[in-house]
Amino acid sequence: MDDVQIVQLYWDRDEQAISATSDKYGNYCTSIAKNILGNQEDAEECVNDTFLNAWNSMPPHKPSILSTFLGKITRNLSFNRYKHNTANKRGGGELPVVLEELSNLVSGKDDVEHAFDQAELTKAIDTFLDSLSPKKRSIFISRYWYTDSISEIAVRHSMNDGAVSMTLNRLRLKLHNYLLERGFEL
Amino acid sequence: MTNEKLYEVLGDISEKHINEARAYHKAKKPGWMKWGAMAACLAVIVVTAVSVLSNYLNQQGTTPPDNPNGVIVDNPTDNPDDDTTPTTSEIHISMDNISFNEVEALMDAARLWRDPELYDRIRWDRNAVIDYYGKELTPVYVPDGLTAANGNGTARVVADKSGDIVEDTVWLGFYHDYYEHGSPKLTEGVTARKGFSITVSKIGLLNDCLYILPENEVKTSDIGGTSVTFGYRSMPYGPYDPDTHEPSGYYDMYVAEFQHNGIEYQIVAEQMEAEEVVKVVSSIIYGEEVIVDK
Repeated sequence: MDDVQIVQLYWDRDEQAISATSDKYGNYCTSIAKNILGNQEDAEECVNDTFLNAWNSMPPHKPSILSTFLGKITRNLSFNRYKHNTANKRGGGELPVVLEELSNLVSGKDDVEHAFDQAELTKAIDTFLDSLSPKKRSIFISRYWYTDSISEIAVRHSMNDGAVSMTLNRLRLKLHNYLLERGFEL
Repeated sequence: MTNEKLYEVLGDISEKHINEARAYHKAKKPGWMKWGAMAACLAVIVVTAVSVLSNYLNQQGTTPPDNPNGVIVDNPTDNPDDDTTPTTSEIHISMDNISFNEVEALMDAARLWRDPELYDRIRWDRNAVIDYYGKELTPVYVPDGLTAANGNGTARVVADKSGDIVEDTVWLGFYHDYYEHGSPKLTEGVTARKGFSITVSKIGLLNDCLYILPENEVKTSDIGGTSVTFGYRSMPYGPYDPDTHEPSGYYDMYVAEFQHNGIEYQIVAEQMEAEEVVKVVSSIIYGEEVIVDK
């Protein structure tokens, strides 16, 4: 079934929408949740919640890319669950390492004085991503959006693990300088 | 900002990017491309062999008595170590502020194969390169004894059918000598090139070779406000001992990577002093020759 038809099922309030979504995007959403949470049970719960969220938001929403619309919901829900689990000292999947890598880019303080428009920051990151080659962009997003492990990224891009880590190091440094030049002192 | 907040912000990037990243699959080279590449490599070897052989035959009458095998020697007037040219620069760079990272491994990186049905290869002359990059790419400082390669200043780039440039890499070489067909000549004794190359891109460098640095401790050096990553590797050269496979010896290779005024640079220097490499990099950043203090 194509995405337009699936979205139409949501709009028609037809419960088949959930099974059609699960058939087509269940694995995709589960992989995102599992990368973040590192455990199947929590991941499956987040994916079920994703479908429920989708049901509640369509209508009025009509996503242009259904996969990323669902992926974003899964990512947000899984990250919230991760924070809840961490507070209860339950370990995560790949996320702790990813967060550790990102900590080089930020001060680590929740500094209200340096607060800036989040939408502007996202826009600057998008512009930065536009300036990268498709391969580097894909590596960066695989790691910091999909929370993929280094070895998964290496396999997908026909590289070895060391080369992926090196590329990510350089991209983080580049992003850091890029944002600093534009006044985003994170 | 906290790392968790940044992770949340990254969650809001454009859906187009997220979708494309998942759809990205490395363009696989068809079988004939692989064999074609091997044939091309073979052709280079044959051309090199013919060139060396013809040089050898041409020089038969002048082969020096201490070189009975006819191995081609460097031009004796070349003196790359002679760095006594007076300079008027006021800018000083101290080697104490430069950090070198050990390059752990070299790895071949296959380039994307561009379907000729969808992409065109375009030849840029010197003016087109200068127009695109907005500057002359030859560094202000080139060590004595090194000369520009024949094709320097021109490039073959790739554009899609709407004319948008998708690969803009320009390569410039500065070596001590060249074979007739244009590739840098290996030095006598140490069978390796002597000199450096600069590869530049505004879109993003597509490397044929990746220089793998240690994962978590890459040190960068600040030159005029530009963050430069320097790498070093001791490179073996042949011939290799048939029994022990030990190389004949080792030579220095330096790599420098940085971004300046929206242009990505990668410099690969072989058989050069570290100070010379820093001087080349600094001259690109400052646009003038600098003094490197040891």
